[in-house]
Amino acid sequence: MNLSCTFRSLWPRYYIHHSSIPSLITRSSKTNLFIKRTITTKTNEKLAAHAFYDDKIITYANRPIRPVTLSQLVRFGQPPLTKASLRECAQYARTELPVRLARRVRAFQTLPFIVGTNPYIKEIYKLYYESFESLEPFSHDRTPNDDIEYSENLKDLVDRHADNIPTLARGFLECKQYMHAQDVAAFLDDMIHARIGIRLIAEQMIALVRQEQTGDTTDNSYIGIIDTQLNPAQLVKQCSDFVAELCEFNYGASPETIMDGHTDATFTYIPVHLEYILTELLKNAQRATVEFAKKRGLSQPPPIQITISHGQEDISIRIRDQGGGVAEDDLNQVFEYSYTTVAKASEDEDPSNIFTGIAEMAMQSGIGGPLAGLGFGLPLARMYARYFGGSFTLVSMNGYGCDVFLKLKHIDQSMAELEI
Amino acid sequence: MHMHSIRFSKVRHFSSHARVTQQASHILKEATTHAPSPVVSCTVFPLTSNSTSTATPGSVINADSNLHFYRNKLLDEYVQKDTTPITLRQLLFYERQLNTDRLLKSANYVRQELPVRISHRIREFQNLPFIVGTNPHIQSVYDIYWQAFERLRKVPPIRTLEDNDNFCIKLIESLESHMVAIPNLVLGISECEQHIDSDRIDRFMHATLRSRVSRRVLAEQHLALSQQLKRILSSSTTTTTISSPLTTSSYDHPKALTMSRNKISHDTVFSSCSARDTVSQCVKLARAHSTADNVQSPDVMIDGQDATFTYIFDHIEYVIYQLLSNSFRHTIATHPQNNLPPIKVTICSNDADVFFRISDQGGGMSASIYNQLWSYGQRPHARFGNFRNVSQLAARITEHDQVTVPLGIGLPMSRVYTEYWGGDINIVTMDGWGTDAYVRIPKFGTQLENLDFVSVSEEEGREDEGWPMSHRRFVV
Repeated sequence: MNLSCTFRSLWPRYYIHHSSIPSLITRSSKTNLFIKRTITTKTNEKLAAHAFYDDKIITYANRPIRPVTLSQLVRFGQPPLTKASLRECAQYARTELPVRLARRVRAFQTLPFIVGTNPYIKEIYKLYYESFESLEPFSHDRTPNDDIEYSENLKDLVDRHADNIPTLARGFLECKQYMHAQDVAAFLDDMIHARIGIRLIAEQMIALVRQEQTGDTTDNSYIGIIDTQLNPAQLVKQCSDFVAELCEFNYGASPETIMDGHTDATFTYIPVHLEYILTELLKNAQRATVEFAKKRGLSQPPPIQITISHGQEDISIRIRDQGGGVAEDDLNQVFEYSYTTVAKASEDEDPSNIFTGIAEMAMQSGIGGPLAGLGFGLPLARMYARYFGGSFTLVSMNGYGCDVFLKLKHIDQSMAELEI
Repeated sequence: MHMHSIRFSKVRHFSSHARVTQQASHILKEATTHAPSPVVSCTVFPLTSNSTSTATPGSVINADSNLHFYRNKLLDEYVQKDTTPITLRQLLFYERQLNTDRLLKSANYVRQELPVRISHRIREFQNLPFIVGTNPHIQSVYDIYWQAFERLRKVPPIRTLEDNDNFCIKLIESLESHMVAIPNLVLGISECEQHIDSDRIDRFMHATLRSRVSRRVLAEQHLALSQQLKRILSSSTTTTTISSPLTTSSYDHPKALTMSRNKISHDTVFSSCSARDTVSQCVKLARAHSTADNVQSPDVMIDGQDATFTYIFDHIEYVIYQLLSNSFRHTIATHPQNNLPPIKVTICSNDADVFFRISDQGGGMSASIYNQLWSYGQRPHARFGNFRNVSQLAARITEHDQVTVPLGIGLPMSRVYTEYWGGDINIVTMDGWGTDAYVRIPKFGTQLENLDFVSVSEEEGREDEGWPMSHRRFVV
């Protein structure tokens, strides 16, 4: 083994036992969290060395991506679901996913070295690498054409990658001074955009397999993960209840949510996406409302008003809060990654305070990560909104509150040619 | 034949032709003297002007005449000057601390400032594609601008109150003659749609209207001050309450008298507009106009906290009225009479700004209409044709009494008025439900006038996400 490999493999172990080493990692107070999440083992060391000499990544990464159109994805799962269409979907997924995963790995490999050594970022890099390794064999003709086994692998992939974004968020937050903001933004944009595509293909495949297996026809509004009768009002209620719980836990109070508009409208969309966007936006709204109410000395935080509108081409959702708005200086930056208006109190906290860890973990729960503070909520929400041609508008009345307008297009014939 | 070719080429090319050079320099000499020289004495170019301008022969050369090109040299020295923008606070100061000295100072500021601003506008006209400039409507506006330029350029420095009176007469003349500018301009632009791309039209129109507002503000403010001083001097007491010019009509502009409210004084600065009062006022007006057809108008609920701010009352009133009347119209059109959903107006403020949010349930707008909302050019529902029936327009709220057909420039004009002192206006719609309009006004009138004289072709587009970046560019 050459010297650099030795050093790299020693580094994490060195950190755990000698915390006096000045490094950007030790500056973080979240030591307990870090140890919990990253355990160095011999396999990981081998991976690092192995990656350098591995040709497969480059081979796959250099292959062109074959985008699938939304209408094809839907067609794969259109009832009646036959083995043939399932086979077609699986065939596509097997050959396509390794290419996309390889590209992600490659993107990590081109980050500056110091950034790549950040344990959070390294963790995600390893995750992608391992996923690639596990899925790559399926793309060869020699492997058994067992779609069920393949979908098990995909399930594994989806589960393990669930927390990618918060982890990456944390990692890049720590690496702020080592990379230009616009390079980080470009990396993350690609990353997240690709991730959405990968998950879409994987989850569609999994859902179709399950549908075919169980012969489940009760949920016939679903085509894989696409719901043709998604009722946004219901989803809003679910998300706001969930966020209200988090809010209560953190602040002891939560604002009421009032909904009006076309509450029985339905449209075709991917529920997971909408759920993610709504959760992020509601987190912002509720947190801001409660904090602003406290600042003003109000006994009750003012309610949040949500309006749903069913238009000719799209569904619009407006979230109106009285959370004090966003200052003009901040407004330019709210869509940047790692930009947050949450007070950075956590960085100065006493690491020996055991309650820090608990509060942190509570904040970590839930879809997509913490209640607030990582600076990813808005850029991510916007990217999801735009993925299928929607739009995202934020209007701030500084000193009063914010209005957020989410416009989502119906996933229908007009989107047939949209490429994933 | 030979002579015609010279008309459109640059002067420096003439040096190769001895005879032409001689004649050209003769013309240039003519053009640069201030003494009106009768065009007919020029031997080189036969005058074939058939313009309908009322200019006396020799005082103004209008666009049709062949001498126009050379006369333009006059413009250059003004175009090169920078404008001196003024703040609302400064206007207020003049008004409050008025005496003869200050009035004359104001007069000279206006005297020098107006020609510079007009000259910049003229230059922008000159940069339009030639075909657009030949449109008769555009050309008539262009000629009006030239007349105003000449008229004001020649005013000598003002030293006495009598000089000031003459100056005021000139100002009134200019204001009157410019009343036809907006209708003609808009008509002309709509006729030229295919010759110029709509983005450029929008920027040109926006800059022109913005400048027009600025000149009217200066002119009308000065006229108001002159009246005020007269009153002060003619009355026996030396101290006059500051509020007097604000409660009586400043000068007898015919349109002002049609307003039936007790505070008229258009374009004198109101030191404190109350946001709530402004809205209530506009609601009354909008209601009055929309119930003309015996139609019920929707309720308006005002919430939030009142705020006071410094602004030119007429401007803010125009904007709020426009937005309310749009909301009324759409609400009435999409709902049955007995079940009109209310319009919600929210007023709020922080240290620096006042916000108005006008939220209706008028059904919203489809993407195609929404994208053309601020455009002066191609708009699917534009009713610029109606301008043919409207010969004069000062874009004042007072005119809504007489002008009942929708003209289609309400929103673009509102944008000019809000952005003029560094504010913003933004409209977001939910197709199928309703529309929200957001107006932000800076509070204390310390913003400089927002005149950008960056050449229209260099201006960048607006942001289209989040709150648009306000155009806080000041003249350099």
